Amino acid sequence: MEPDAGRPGAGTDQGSNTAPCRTLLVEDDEPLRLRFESILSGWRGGRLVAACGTLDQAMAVLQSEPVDLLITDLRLPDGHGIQAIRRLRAINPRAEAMVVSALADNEIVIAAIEAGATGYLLKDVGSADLIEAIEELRAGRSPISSSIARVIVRRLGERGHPPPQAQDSAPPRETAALTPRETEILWSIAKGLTYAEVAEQLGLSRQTVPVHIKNIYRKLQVGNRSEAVFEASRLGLIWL
Amino acid sequence: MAVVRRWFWAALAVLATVAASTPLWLTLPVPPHTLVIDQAQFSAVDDAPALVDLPHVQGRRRAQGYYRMGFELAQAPAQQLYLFIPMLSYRAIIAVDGDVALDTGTNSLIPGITLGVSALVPLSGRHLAAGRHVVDILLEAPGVTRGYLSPLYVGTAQQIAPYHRLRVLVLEHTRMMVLACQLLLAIATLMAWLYRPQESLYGWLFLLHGVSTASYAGLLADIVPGVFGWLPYAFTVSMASVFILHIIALKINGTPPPRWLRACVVLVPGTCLLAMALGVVAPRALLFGLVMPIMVVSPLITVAISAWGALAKKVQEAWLLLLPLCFFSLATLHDGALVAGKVEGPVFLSLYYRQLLIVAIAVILMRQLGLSLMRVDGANAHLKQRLAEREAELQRLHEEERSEAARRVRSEERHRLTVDLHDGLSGHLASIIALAERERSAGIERTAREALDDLRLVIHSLDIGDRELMAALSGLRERLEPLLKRLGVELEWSMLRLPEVSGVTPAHALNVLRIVQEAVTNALRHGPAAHIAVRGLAGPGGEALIVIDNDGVPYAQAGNGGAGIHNMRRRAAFLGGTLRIEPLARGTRVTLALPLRLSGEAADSSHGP
Repeated sequence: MEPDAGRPGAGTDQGSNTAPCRTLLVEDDEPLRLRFESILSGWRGGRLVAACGTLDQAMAVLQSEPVDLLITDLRLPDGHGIQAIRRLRAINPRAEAMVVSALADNEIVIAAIEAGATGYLLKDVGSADLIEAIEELRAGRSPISSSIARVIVRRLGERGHPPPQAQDSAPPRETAALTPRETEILWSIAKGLTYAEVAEQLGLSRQTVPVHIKNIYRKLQVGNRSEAVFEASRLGLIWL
Repeated sequence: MAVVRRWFWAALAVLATVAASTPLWLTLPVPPHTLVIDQAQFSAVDDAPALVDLPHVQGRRRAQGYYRMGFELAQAPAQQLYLFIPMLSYRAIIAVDGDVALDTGTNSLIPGITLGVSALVPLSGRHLAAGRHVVDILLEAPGVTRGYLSPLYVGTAQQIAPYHRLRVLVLEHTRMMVLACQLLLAIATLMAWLYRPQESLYGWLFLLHGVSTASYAGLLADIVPGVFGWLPYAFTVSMASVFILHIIALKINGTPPPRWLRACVVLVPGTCLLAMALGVVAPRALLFGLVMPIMVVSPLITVAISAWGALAKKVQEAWLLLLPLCFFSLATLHDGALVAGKVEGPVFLSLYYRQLLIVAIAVILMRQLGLSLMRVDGANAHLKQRLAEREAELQRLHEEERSEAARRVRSEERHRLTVDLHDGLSGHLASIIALAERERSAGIERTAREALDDLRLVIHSLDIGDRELMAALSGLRERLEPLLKRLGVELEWSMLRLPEVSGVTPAHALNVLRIVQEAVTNALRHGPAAHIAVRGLAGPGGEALIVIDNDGVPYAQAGNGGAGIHNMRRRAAFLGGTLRIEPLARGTRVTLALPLRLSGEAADSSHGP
């Protein structure tokens, strides 16, 4: 990750001054699209490349223009937002993707994470919160809810061995990529601890926790395309 | 306990030894205070008469001898008198004063087992007159031992009858009992063998009892008059029993009997029989020259085999066989000496010790049966236990599978519902929020936001499992945080010290979340708070406490609190907990107390407003 990723209190405007973040918005619901459009156009750190209502449009934009950040709804009239995320990650591995979800329910978000997303937004997110979330993500920090953490922990456990209870137990095969610290953070958040409590328990700064979360998301990304599609269809997210 | 058992067995062994040895040292009593005749004029067929003392053993086998003796009665007795001969061998014709009074051959048992019987002759009429009376006895000696005549006794029925009856019991009935036992065991072992052919010991035992019955062939004399001539053959057949006894002793030791020994069972008697039948050797010569010595010496070998098993191989059952075998071989040695004329006396002891041997074998069989049954019981108990364990395991797996299936159905249903809500209602609500924001209708926007939040609350609670109350609360926190941040209210949240609550169902979780959310909403609505603290604690009684503090207007105790507070109390009651609302110096405190184990009953009564 970026060397300054973990630095606490990274300024929101700092990164955007140098190069505006080229942002693509994909949302089929018009009122919401317009709402996000207006919020994003007021963001000084970014430049809205396009606001699309369908997957086709989004794919066309991705093909023709460089994009640093994709903000996409998942259910689209002609496809699935996950497809756009994968395309973006294939074209520009350094680009970020966030999903917009009405409920931010676990399985949808996790499917998106496995496709390569590292952030998620609620559809009713306030304008300031939206910009803050983007800035945080740009600074290398990802959000996580306890229920998402719980599902990740549960699925890591299901795949191989029982989830590690403490830091001394060896990480299971599937989570080999996760460091003991990352596993511990996942566990603590799944239990319902706040970032502050997790940070205190593990002797970290509060700002470091979301950095670890982003790293975890990157490790959860499924490399193989067919595997990702299978995962998504298993979750009922894609109707093949 | 083990010591007591050991002493018990030792005492039993001593008692058994003493009891078993009685025939060797015990002599049957003779009637006292009676007239005793202990001298007689004896004359063999071709010898001159001579005065001999009684008891008298004749010098040669298979000979007839005449005895003449007398007794004097001083006066005619008041009671009937009897002439009692305690022991004779093997047949006597008794005449008193020239009248034949008794022929033992007509009322005694048949030769073969009658070596040594007693006789009782009632004296009557002129035989009881005062004066001297003459008794003549024609004694026929059996083919194998010498003739024997004990002293004679004359007395009343009371004086003599008990002694006679005792001798009939010991000398005749007991021998028949041996035969009966032998036949019984032959049948028992045959049946055991038929049902369990793989246990060859039963087969050998059956053969043992079978072939040794041949020595009773003399009993058939009444039916088959010529059987007497066949006796040497019968004894030769029964000789097979000594080899069978070796095999049995080896088997009890746990040693497989060698093939040649098994062959001996058939070959040795078979060869002898063939030699007799073909006239190569005279039957009697063979009987005395080979069969008898083998039968006398063989038990000693069996004793050695059993002693080896008991002492060297530490086989417990060999001990059971060893003692009777010792006696049996002693008895056969005694009988051998008797036949050889080295010992005086008419009775074959091996007849009695065969009984002992049979008893020992029966004991061994019963012991094996008992042990087998114990093993079967043990195996049964073991199998039953295993079965119960497997059943319990299956039951458990079944339960698990059922609950897993139920969980899966619930999860699928939840997933379907979530997808529906996601695609439909929640999307519409988000759309309404966007529209209202654009149209600047704050009321609609707020209501739509509340509706969406509430929808999230319900959906989120569906995902809550047991012991996940803290996670459920965390989900609420995540939803409250942006709202409060927007309103500029500081939220302090800590659930680290909340005790773990078990028995949590989604319905429980929803009730808890709604109470906390209501408390926060109230803090925002009624007491415009700038700081809200939500903390989990352990109560004084160990119960779980969730405390919501705000720094708004202190709660007015007087009021009934309205519908919101009424609902919070109702939900707390459903959870089996209590709700306390109290004013603070600056602000209000809401405390929800929950038991550490939530009961399942609240599960159905949850979906209130």
